[in-house]
Amino acid sequence: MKPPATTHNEFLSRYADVRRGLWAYLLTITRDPTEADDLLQEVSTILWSRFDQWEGRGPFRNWCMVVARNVALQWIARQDRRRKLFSDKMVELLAEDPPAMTPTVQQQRLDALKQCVSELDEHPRQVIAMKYLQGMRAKDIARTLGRSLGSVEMALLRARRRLRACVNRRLGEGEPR
Amino acid sequence: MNEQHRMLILRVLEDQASPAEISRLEQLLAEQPELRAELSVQALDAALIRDALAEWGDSSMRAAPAVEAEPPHPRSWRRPAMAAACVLSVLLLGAWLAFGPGSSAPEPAYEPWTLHVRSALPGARLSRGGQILDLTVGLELRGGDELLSGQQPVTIGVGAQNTHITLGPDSRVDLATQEPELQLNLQSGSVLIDAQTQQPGRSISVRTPTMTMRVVGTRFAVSAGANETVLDVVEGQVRVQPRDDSAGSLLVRQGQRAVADRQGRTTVITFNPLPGLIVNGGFESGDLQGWQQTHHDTGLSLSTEAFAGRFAARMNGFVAKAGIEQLFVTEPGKLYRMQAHVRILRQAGHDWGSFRMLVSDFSTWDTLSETTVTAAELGPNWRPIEATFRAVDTRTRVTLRQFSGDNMQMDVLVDNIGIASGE
Repeated sequence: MKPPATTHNEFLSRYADVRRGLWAYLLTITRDPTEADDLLQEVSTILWSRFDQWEGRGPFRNWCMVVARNVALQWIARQDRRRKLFSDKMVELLAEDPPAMTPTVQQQRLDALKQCVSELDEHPRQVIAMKYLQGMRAKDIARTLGRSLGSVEMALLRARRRLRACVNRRLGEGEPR
Repeated sequence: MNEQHRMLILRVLEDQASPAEISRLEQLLAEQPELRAELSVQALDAALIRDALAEWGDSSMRAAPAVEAEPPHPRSWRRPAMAAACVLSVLLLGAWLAFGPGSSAPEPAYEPWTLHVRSALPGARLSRGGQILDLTVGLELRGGDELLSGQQPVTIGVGAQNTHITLGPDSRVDLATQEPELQLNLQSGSVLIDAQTQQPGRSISVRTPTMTMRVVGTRFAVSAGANETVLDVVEGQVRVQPRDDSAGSLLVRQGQRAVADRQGRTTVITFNPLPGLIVNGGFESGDLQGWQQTHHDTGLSLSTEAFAGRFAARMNGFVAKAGIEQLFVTEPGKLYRMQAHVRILRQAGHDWGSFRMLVSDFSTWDTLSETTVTAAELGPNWRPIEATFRAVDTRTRVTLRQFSGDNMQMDVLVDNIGIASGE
C-alpha cells in the first residue's frame, strides 16, 4: 500500500536522523562513496515504499538497517568475485551493531570538522574533497593531479588522521586511544 | 585501541587494503566488538567529512581564498554543494519518489511545476494545442508544449528552484510535467540543464530516442542528432539509462562524456587534463602573455577577482567589445575538451548575443565547437563552461569574447582556461 501523503514529512524527518549511519554502513561494505550513494538510493526507495509496514514497531534505525543489510547482500552477490569484500556473515554482524553516534554527537562532530577542514592545507583538502565530494577513486585523483597513486593514497590517509586528531582535540577527547 | 588496528580499518575503508589485510580485519572484527565500533565511527566520520567539506566549501566561496597554483580541478572543493551528502541523499530519495513504483499518484506536498521563459529572441516558437505562438520573455510554459528555439538559445527558469534549462540553437523539445517529474523530450538540437537545488521529491529527466538522463543535482548538456546522443557532464553526476539497457544504468561523472549510438549502445569517455597546452590559461603571469586580442584593447584588462590564483581576464563590453584568442597544438582526429571558468558581472541591452567560447580550425576558421552563455543562464557566480571538439589540424584556435549585436553589453571575467584529452 502506498503510504499516505501525511506520512511523507514524518518519514523524511526520521530518515534524516539515520541517513548518515546508513551511508556509513554501506560505505563499509562497498568502500566506494559513489557506490554507497547508489545503494542508499535503493535503500531509501524501499524504506519509503514500505514505511507503512513499519508502524512504529521497534526502533526505526533497526528497521532501516535490516533493509540496508539486504540491499548490501544483494550488491555483494552482483560483484566480481575477484574483488575481496567482507563475508555475508560480517555484513550481517555489522548491521546488528548499535549506532556509533547519536544525532547530537554527530552534529557536534560535524561542527568541529568544519573547523578542522578549514585548517587543512590546500592540497590534502583538495584530495579529500575529490574523494568524498566528487566520488573519485584514488587512481583517478592521481591521474587528474598528475601524481602517483601511492602519494594520493598517503595523502588521503594523512588527511583522515589529521581530521580525526583535530576533531578529538576540539571536542576535548584527546588523541585516539 | 591498537594504532595498527586503527590504520588497518582506515586502509580498508579507503579501499587501499590488500585481500590479506581485509581478511585479517574481518577476523579481528568478528572477535572484537570494540573494533567494530571503531569501524563504525570511522565510516560515519567519512559521511561527516563529506558534509563538512560541502558546508565549508560554500562558505569558502564567499570568502574566496587565494590559491597560488592552478590545480587541475579547483572547483572540486569550491562548489561542492551539488555533491553534498545531505542534498544528495534527499535528491536520490526524490528521484525514487519520482520514478519508483509508488509514485503514480501525485504528492500534494509538491508545488506544481512552473516554467517561464527567461530569455528568448524573435524566431523562437511554441506549439501549443495546434497553435504556433512566439516564445517571449515571461511566458508560462505547460506540459504538452513543443518548443522550437530558432537561431538563438532560449533559457527557461523552473519555479524558484534555481534551475535553468537552456535550449541550444535550432533545438526542439517537448515538455511533459506529470508531477512530480518534469520530463524534456529532446527531439533534436541540444539542451543544457542546470539543476543544483531540486526540491525533495522532484525530478527532472531528459529523454532522447536512445538515452534517458536523470538529474542527480548537476549541470549537464545533451545533444541529440540523427545518429547519436551526446551527454557532457559539467558538474555533479548524471544517471543514464541507455535504450540498450542490457548493461543497466550507468553513472556519468563530472568531466565525462557519454555517447549513445542509434542502437542505444553507450560508451563513456573520460577526459584527462593536458597541463601546459594552453599558455597562461590562468593569467597568473600578470599579463596576457600567450593570448591575442580580438578587439580594441580598452575593454580588456586583468582583474584580481580571480576564480583561482591571483588574476583573471576581464572583458568589459560596457567600455568596448573585447576578446582573447590563442592557438594551441592538437593532434588531428583526437577528441579534446576545452574548459574555462566564467563569471558575468553585468549584462544589459536588448540585442541578440551571449558570451562565447569558440573553438575553430587554425587554417580554415571552421567552427569545431562553441559554447555560449548569458547572465540568465549562469547567474552571478563563477561557473565552468566547456566545448568538446575533434581536432582536424595540428593547430587549433580558442576564442573567448562577447558575441552579440551592438545593443547588448556584457562585463565578463574569465579564468582557469584549460584543455583535456578524451582519448
